[in-house]
Amino acid sequence: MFKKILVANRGEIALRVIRTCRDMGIASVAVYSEIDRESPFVYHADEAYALGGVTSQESYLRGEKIIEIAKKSGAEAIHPGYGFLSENAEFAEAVQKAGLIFIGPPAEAIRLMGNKTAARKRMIAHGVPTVPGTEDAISDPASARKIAAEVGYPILIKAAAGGGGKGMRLVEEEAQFDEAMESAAREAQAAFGNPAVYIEKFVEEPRHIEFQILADSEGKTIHLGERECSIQRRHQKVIEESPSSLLDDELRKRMGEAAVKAAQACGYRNAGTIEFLVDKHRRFYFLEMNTRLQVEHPVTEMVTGLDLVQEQIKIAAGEPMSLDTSVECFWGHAVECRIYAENPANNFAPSPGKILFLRPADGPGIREDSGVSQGSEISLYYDPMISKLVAWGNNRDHAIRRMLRALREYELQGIHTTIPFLIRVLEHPEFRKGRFTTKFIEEYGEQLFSDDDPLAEVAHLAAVLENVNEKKQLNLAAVNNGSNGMPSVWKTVHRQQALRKK
Amino acid sequence: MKIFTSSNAHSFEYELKQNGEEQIILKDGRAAQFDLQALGNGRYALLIGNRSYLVHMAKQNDMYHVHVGGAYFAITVEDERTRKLKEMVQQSASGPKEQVIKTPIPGLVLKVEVEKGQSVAKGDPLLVLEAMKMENVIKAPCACTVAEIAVEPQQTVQQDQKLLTLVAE
Repeated sequence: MFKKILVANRGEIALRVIRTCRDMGIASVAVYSEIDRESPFVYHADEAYALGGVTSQESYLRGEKIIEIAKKSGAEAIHPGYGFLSENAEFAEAVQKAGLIFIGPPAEAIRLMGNKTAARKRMIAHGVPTVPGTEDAISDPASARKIAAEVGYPILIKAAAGGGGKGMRLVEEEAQFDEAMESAAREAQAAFGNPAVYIEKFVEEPRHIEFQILADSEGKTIHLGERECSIQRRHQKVIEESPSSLLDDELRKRMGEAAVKAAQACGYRNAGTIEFLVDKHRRFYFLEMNTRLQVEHPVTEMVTGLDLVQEQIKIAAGEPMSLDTSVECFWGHAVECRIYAENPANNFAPSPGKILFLRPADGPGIREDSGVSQGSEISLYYDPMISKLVAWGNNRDHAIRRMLRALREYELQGIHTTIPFLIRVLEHPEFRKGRFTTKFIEEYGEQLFSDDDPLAEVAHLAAVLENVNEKKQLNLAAVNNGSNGMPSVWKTVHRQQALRKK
Repeated sequence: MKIFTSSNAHSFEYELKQNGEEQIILKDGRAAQFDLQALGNGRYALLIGNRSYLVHMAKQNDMYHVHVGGAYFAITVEDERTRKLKEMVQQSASGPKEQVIKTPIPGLVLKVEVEKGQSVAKGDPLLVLEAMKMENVIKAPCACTVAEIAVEPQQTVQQDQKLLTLVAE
């Protein structure tokens, strides 16, 4: 086993990895940018080295410098976390060339899965279901129509050179095809100077469900069940859970087998995630593979009892995994909420600033993976996610109620966070029933952003009391010629009222 | 004396009465039963009747930022006197309406979409600001003319820094 590991990341995930290193008796090395000097992941590591710089480019993306620090510190392996260099095949190769171990998949697997078209072709060749459609652009209406019929309606026509919804048409049935094809081609020609289109099956009521896989150094591959990640905003996951309310044992088994097949098809090693779309007919399609540890990995840890970072480190060191078969039954239910430094009341505008007061939630069933502490400065140079709150319960409803309790108890002052928005989503009746798609936030937007809140009266009264109290103190200060030391006026008033009631 | 509060979607009216030594707060004609205890660090234990709450309150430029039970409100409180004063000031301040657009968040100016002297419609993009890896489009709040551009692309800006001056049409 390794004696020392360098963590090439920052924030909550760097601290997450450092904690597992400590649990395993492995020394940890942090690297930090200029503005992260005072961060928890720096002072909780055994050693820390400055990268210099402020922006990601100047700091956490400097692969060569990071490898140089690893060698200088005597670290034998590098854990890349997620984001930054985690899915950079050149970096993975450079680590290897420097005689160190990259805690992640081989560079070839990163490269293959990073190329959408190549990944799709590989999946088709290995019998993993993908969204049916044309592999190459097409401009002849007759053959396009033939393909559409093969794929099965409803279908999407997409401009080959396109983007932004231009030249895109949803076709419900064959009778509408010719007209839609003609107008899509015209629009594509006008917008991009190229009338060619792709034909693709339209995934109805899509849900985003992904499978965690582990592959040891010999290529033995297992899956650890699914994560439901359909609650997204601007393609960014907001709430994740495991297990998914949509899957039954039979579908889980089929999807799990497909996930394992997908990982084997690219010679995968270490921890990875296969993302699927599942439509309303419970058909599933390969979307992409994430060749790293996922942000939402804690929900899998909570229901399987595994430490995924520990599994990653063991695999990288050539040791056997803790399990040798896929996980088919889970222990209870787990939900994760991502807390962002954003203001939901102002269109999720970033909210950088200093955390003036922080008392995170705890109590039964709550885990928090946070990268900040009281006094931390949230900078505008990095990702706005500051913490992940995870709740575990006997079943889905229990876990959600625990999460709501934790979010309401969470005390964080100085910056705006998405906590009020997360509460709205978790309270929504359709979410509670487990009936939602990836369009949930768009669909129920108005209810999720309404300002109507039963706590408004409480907050307003508190503000009035504080305002009246301030004025009273001012007056008293004037009367007493500046000498203070008066007891709270409200205490006196309340006592008098209490006396009168008797 | 009447006290008015307002936040994004709510406004309430209270009445403050002096009864000898003590002050009573009335809402809808009924005396509110409350007990507000300061815990330090802007935290308060609040009882309304016997309903119990933990409240965070911070005052900034006459605005009370209140957090309770995971919800957040930015509340202004004014009494009759200050409300009247404000109305008088607003009436006297009519003339060519100049509006200064300031940075809502610190960041980097990516693009300036307008030129000096250009007329823009309400909702037209004025400039693009990048902060925390997200692009934020600053839009025109009303139909107006661009009177001044105070920043350039690739310039880093602090919170509340002047970006543009607009004159309403």
